[in-house]
Amino acid sequence: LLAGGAATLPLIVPGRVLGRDGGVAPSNRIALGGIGIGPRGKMVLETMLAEKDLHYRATCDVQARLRIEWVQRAEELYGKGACTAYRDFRELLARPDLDAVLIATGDRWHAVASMYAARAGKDVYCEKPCGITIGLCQSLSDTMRATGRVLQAGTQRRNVPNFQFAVHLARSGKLGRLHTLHASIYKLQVLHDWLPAEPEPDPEVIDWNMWLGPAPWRPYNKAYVVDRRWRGYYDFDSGAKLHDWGAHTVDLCQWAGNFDDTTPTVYEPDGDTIYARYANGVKLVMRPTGWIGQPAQSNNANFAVGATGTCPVRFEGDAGWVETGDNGSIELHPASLRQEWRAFVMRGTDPARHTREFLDCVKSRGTPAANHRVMRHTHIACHAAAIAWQLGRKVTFDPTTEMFTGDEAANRMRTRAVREPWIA
Amino acid sequence: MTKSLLVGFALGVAAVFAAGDAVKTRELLAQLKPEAPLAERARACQQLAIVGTSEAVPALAELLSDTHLGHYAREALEAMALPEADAALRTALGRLQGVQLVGAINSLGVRGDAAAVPALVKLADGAEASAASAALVALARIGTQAALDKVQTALSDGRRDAAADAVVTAADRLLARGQTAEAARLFEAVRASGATGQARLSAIRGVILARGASGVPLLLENLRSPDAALHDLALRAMRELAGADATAALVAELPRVSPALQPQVLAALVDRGGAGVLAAVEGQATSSNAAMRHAALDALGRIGAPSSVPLLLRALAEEGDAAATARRSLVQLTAPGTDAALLRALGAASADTQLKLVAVLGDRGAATAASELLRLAREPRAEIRRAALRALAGAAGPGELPALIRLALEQRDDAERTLADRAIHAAAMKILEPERRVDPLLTALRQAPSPSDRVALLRPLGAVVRALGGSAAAAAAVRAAAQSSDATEREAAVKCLADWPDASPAVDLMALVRASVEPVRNLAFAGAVRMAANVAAGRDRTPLDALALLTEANALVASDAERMMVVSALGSLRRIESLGMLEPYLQLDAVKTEAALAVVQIAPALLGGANAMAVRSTLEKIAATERDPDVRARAADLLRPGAAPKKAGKKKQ
Repeated sequence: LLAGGAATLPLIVPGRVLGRDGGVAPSNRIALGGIGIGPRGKMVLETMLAEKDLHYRATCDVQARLRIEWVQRAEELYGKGACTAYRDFRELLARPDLDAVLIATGDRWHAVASMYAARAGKDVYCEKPCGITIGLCQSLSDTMRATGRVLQAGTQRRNVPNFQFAVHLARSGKLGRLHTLHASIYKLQVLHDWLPAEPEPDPEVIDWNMWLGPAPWRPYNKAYVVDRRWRGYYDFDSGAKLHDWGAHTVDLCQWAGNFDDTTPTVYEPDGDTIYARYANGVKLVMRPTGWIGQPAQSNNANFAVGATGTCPVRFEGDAGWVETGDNGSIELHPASLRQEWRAFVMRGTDPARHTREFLDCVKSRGTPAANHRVMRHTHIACHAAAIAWQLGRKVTFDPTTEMFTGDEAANRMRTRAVREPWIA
Repeated sequence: MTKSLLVGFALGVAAVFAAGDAVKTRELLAQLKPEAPLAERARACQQLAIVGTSEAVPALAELLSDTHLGHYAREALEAMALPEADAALRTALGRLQGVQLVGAINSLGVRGDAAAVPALVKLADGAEASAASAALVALARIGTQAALDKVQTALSDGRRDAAADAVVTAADRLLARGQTAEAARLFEAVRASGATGQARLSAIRGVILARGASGVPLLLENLRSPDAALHDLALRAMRELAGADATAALVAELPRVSPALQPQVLAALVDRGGAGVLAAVEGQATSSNAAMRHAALDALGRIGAPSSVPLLLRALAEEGDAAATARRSLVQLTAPGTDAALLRALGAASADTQLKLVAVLGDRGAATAASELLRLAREPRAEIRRAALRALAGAAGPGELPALIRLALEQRDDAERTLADRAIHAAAMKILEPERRVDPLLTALRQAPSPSDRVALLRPLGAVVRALGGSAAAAAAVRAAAQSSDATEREAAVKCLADWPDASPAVDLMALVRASVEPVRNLAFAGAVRMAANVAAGRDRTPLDALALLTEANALVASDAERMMVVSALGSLRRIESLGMLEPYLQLDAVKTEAALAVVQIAPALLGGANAMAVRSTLEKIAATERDPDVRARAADLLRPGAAPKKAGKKKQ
C-alpha cells in the first residue's frame, strides 16, 4: 500500500477545515473515498470537492501515479494527512469513517466495486455504465435495494436543465401522444483482440491483476492502463460501446416516455441503428446519425455532433417534437412549446447538480434522480439493444422476467461469469 | 482482429438455437486445442458461452483448472442452460482449489443449481475460509429450504458476518417477490444473530418493510435512536413503507423526534407524500427551530397549496436565510392563484419586501404582473425601478414590447437602459414565429423621430438578431442606418453590422472600410475579417468569397492589430493563397508567431496537394527559426513522413 506521504503540504490547517469562514464543521461533512479516479473521475470528483460539506479522505487506485496525485490534491485542500491512499479498494471500504464512495474505474469494475461498497455500508456515486452485463445490473440494483444505500449512476443529464425541459414536454403531454423516442449512440463496435504481451510491472506501480479485477485474464499491455485503450473490448467495455452515450440518451428516452420501471420488448438492428419498441407501441430508435445539423460527413464518424451538440435526444409525439443535446440549445415544434421553458420543477432537490443531489441524498437518505431502479432499466435496455446488434437479428425481451423470449443465445449473453475470487 | 467476432459469427448462424449450435461447437472445439494460441482458445470459450452445445462441456470442464483459461471455461459453462454444465461444475468442486474453487462455487450459485446444495453445504463447513464464504453466498442464491437452513445455521457460528450478508440478499429477493412472511423470518434471524455493520442495518430495514403496517413501531424505535446509522435507515424506510396508517403515524411522530433530526424527517415525509403531510409542513413553516423552518419553507416550494402562500410571504418579509428560502419556494410554487396573491401583497408590502416580490414575479415569469411592473419601472425610487426592469425580462411578453420600447427610449441612466434592453430582448424572443421577432423593433426604428432614439434601438435589435442567427429584414434597416448623416447613428449601425451573427454584411463592411475613416472604418474592418474567418473555418455557411475578402483586407491593413486579425483569419483558410499572404508576415516581429501558427494550422490540408514542396519549405523555416516552442514542434511534426495529425472529435461522458 501507498500510505499517502509523498505530497507537499501546507503547514497551516485552512480555516474552513475547522468550520470557520462559512465552512462546514468536520463532523457535518460527508467523508468521501474515491476508487479509480482517472480523467473522467477527476471531472466528477472536482465538482464534489467544490462542495463545502465534503471531505475527500481516501483514494484508491491500481496506479501509484494516481494514488499520489489524489493524495496531493486532497492535501492542498485540507492539509497534511487528510487523505490516505490504497491499492486495494477493500481496505478503503473497511474504513468505518467513510460515508460514501465515488467509483470511476473502467466499466469492468463498476458493478462489483459498487456492490462491495454498499455491503460495506457506503453510499455510491458510480460512473456509467454501472454494469457490463444485464446480470450485473440486476445484482447491483438488488444489492442497493437490500442495503438501502444511495446509488447515483453517473448519468448526469437527468440533472441538466435543457434535457429536463425536453423530458418535461414529453411527460406533461405537451407533445401529444408520444410515438417515437430517439437516442444518439456511438457507432457500435466490439473488439476481441489482445494487445501484445508486455512484462508485467511492479504491482506497487501498476497492479495488473487488480486492474483486470472481475474481467477475464489477458496478458499485460500498458496501453490498456496508461492510455486507457480498454474501450470497445468485449471483456472491459459495456455492450458494444452502446452504453457510451446510450446510458445517457436511452436513459432520457426512458424518462421521457415514463418507462423508468420497464424496458422495450423488441429490438431489431438495421446497420448502425437499432429499432426498439415498448409494450405500449412507443418506438425507441438508437442511432449514431441523422440529427439536426449533423453533417453527412462528420469530422468524427464515431458519434453524433449536431446543431444541439453531442449526445442528442429527440422525442416525437402527434402534437410536436423536441430535440436537444449537450450545447443546451433546443429545437422544437411547434414554437409555442418554448413558452413552457420556466414552468417546470422536475424534482425537489437542486436540479442543476447531479453530484450535489447525490450528496444531499447521502444526508437525507432520499432517492436521487439516477437511482438503482432507473439505472437497472436504462442499462438493461442498452444491453438488450447491444445484444440484438451483436447477434445481428431481432430479439424479444420480457421486462418482467428480464429474459429474452425463446432465445437461448441472447439469454446466454445476459450474464458473464465474474473472475474469481470476486463475487457479484 | 478488430471486427466483432460475435457479429460475424452470429450473422452466419442466424437461426435461433434451442441449446447451442452443433456445427459451430465442433469448429470452436477445434480452436480449443492446446497448440492453438492462448487468445484464440480464450475467444473460443467465449463463443461457446453463446452457441456451445453439451458436446463442448467436457472440454470446458477440463479447462476449469487452467491458470489462464479456467475463468474463460467457467464463463462458458455458467452461461449454458444445460444440465450437463451444472453437472460439470458440481464435479469440479471435488478437484478445484483456491480461487478456481471459489469461481466454480460462484457459478453454481449464479445458476441456482439446487442439486449442488449438498456439496456446497459441505464446503460451507470446510476449513478454507474463502470457499466457505463463497458457498454460503451460493447457497443463499440457490434459495431452497435446505440451502437457506444451512446459511441460517451459519449465522450462529463463527461465520456470522459472511452468512448475514448472504441471508439478507436472499431475504430481500423474497421480499421483492411479495413473500413477506418468509422474508421477515430471514431478516429476523439476521437481526437476532447479533450481526454488525451493514448486514444488521439491512436486516432491520428488511424487518420493517416485511412487517408492513406492523413495522411502524420498529421504524419509530429506530427513528428515535441516537445512533445515526439507525435513524438513517429509518429515514430510508420511511420512504419505502407503504400505507396511509404508516403516514399518519409518521406525521404524528414528527414533533417527537429530536430537533436535530426533525428537518430530515420532514423531508422524508415530503418525499413520501400522503394525507396530512402538507398540513404538517405548513405547521412547521413558523417553527422556532431554524433548520426545521428552512426544511418546511423549502418543501412548500414543491408541495405547497394556496394556503401556503401567506406563510411564504411572511418569511419573505424577514431578513436572512428564511427569506431566501421562501423566495426560492415562491418562485417554484405551482399552486393556483399564486401570481395574484403576490400582486396583492405587493401593494401593502414594505419597500424592502416590494423589491423581493418584484424579483419573485419576474422569476416566475408572471405575465399578469407585467403592467404593474411597467408602472413600477417609472417609480421615482431607483431601486424599485431597476428591480422592475429586471423582472420585466421574465414577466413581459410580446404584447408589452411597444411599452418596453418606449420605456427604453426614456432611459437616461446607462444601467437602466441596459436592463430595459434586456427586457426588450427577452420579450421579443417570446414571439412564436422567429422571423417576426425583430418586427416590433424595426417598426420602432422606422418611427423613431431622432438619431439618438435610433441609436438606442440598434442595441436591442442587434441582440435579437444575434440570438436569431441573422435577419434579412433587420440587415436592410441597419444598412440604411449605416448611411445616416448622423455620425453617432452611423457608428452604432456599423457596430451592429460588425457584430452580425452571419457573414451577410461582410461585403458592405468592406465597402465601408474603403470609404470611411475611424472609428467606422476600424469597426467595419474587424467585423468583415471576423466574418471571413468564420466562413473559412466552416462555422458560417453564408456564401462569401473569403479568399477575396481577406486578400482585399490584407491590402488595406493599417496597423499591427489589423495584421494580426488578417493573419489569424488566414489560419482558417486552407488555400495555397493563404500561404502566400502569410509568408511575408513570418518575417514581421509583431505577428510572426501568429503567422507561423496559421501556417501550421493550414499545412495539413495542403501537404498532400500540388504545392506540397512550397508548404514543406515554409514549415522547415518555421521549424528552424520560430520562437514559440509549441509552434516549432508542430511544424517539425508535420514534416515527419505520414505524421499529419488526424482531426478527432472530443469524447465526452
